[in-house]
Amino acid sequence: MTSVAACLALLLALLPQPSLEIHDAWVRQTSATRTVSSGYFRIENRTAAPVALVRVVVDGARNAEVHAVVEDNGRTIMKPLARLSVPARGSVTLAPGGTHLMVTDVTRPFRVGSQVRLTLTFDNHQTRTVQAIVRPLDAVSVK
Amino acid sequence: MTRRFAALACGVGILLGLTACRQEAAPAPAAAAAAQPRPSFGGDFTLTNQDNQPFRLQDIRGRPAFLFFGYTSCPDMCPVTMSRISTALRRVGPAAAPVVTLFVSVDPRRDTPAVLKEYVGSFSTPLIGLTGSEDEIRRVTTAYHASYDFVASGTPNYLINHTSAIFLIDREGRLRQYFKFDENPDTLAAALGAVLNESK
Repeated sequence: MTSVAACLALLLALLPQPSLEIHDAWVRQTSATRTVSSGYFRIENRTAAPVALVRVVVDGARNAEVHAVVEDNGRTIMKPLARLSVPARGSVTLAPGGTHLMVTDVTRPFRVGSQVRLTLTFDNHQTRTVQAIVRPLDAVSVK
Repeated sequence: MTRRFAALACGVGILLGLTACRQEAAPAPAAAAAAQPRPSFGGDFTLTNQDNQPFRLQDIRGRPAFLFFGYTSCPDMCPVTMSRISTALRRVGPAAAPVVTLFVSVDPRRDTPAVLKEYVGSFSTPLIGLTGSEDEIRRVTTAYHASYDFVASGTPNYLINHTSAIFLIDREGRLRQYFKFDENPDTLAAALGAVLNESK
């Protein structure tokens, strides 16, 4: 019986563990004169603990930060977020017109149809790398 | 950002902040332009288009227009605004052919006519990009009860907080309604349809 339990424990350990997953990542195209982009994706947290996104590195750009969109005296303004919380067994979506990744100082143009690598770091020291597809300037989703 | 530029930006922010205090109430969801009281502000203006030619609102008299303020380095809100307008125009269909979409840059330092030309060409929907001197742009934003201020970032890619409304202008050049930047395209289409149905 003990050996059966040990086998089961071993099998469970070998199974993929609940984790963080990044879905539907895309960024807006840039040009030689417009070196700012924005990025969007969904973070799915399958773990039993909340996590927070604390850093994003975008290949081909010098800076990237998460911005929330907030109302301010009749205007809509961007507010940088140092941390983006993702609840346990929940998800957070970065979407056009809402919380998004602002990408500045793009050093090589993001061309429509190409891919850009994003590296996301969380406060539990996990990192995830995802390829974001480059979409046209007026796109509203990954497809 | 130079000290002079920062001072100018601050001045613009203060001036237009006062203007914003006189703004009419935030727009309610619209059924149709004809059913809404017409805003008492807006009006004609002259700026420079992406071909470096003078553009006067009166030049398009007889054609309704959507107008919004922004800047080409705007990462999210301006492209979203444009996609909402594009969707509304598609919903209206062929009847929307005469409609003009105007993008007024509040960032003349970076948004030269050449930069605007590249920008407007990136959209599938025809768009007229407009720029001007700081004074010219300030006059237009004031006339439309809009405001903007620069956010220092320490890099050339500074942000600009700006009024994000979509303005609907009728065939006579009169402001008829304004909407949030992420307004439902169906609402935009309904209001535009009402303006298009008015006698030419």
